[in-house]
Amino acid sequence: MADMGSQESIRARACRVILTDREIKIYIKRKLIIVDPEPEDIAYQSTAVDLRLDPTISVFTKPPTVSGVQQITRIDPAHPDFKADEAIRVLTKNENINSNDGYPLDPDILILGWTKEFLDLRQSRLAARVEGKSSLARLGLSIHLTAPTIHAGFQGRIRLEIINHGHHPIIIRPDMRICQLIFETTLGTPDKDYEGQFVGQLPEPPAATSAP
Amino acid sequence: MYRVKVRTVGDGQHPSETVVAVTTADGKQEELIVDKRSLEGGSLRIGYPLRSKAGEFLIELPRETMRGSWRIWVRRNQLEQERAA
Repeated sequence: MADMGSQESIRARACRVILTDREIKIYIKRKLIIVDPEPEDIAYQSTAVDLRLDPTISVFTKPPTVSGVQQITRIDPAHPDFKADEAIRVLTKNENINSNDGYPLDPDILILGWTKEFLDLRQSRLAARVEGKSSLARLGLSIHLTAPTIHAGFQGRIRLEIINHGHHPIIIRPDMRICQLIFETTLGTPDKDYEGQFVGQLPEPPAATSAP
Repeated sequence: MYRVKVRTVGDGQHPSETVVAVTTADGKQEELIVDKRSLEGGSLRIGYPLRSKAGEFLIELPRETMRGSWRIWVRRNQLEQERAA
């Protein structure tokens, strides 16, 4: 029996970190990864799968002008009453991108978007990274700001922080392949998935719900 | 697997999202945005509690809260055991 704790076995397991296209498809087929709608064959590369842009975006509004002077809104994320998503709601408005005209993203502008695909990692011990596509990056388009990690157990659409770092407006359209997802196996079991430490310690609750 | 009780407090930014609140052990509300598909019977799956002390349990939420936390302490009565289908 292999010693699963030895340095060699840890190295061996740690070597297999990124899923290939074949493995991603197997995980999806076995419903260990849910990507809904399922990616078409052309969305895959050897070690990633492309996801598409949802039509809904959040656009930051310009600060109001009083007597010709633009008012500055200061954001204080460390304030005890700060709520990030509430702040974003106040500072943005939602728009639906028209598929014919697209949305012209001007240089140095940040908007928030979502992937069209719903992702569910709860049935596997996988985490993922959302990354940009090099073809778009060369034009100056980035899709995340220092927060690419999709944690193990994630369920939902991936939020994108989209910025045009280039010199010319870039038209973005719904359904365009905007980012790629790289799946990584985790080493070990996260605390939240480890039942052992609480076996028999949590009394049976009065009400129980069915698993989805 | 366990679920934590939540209360829907508003719409998320995307039509597929909703804002829910979890009651912490000290009676405060922690709000987070989740996908509507995550909600079942007013609760969210959280796996297993991470620590316990004096009837309170440390849990990891499926998303970061609006205040930037992933882990919060809740009372036992906020947890439900998920029955296998």
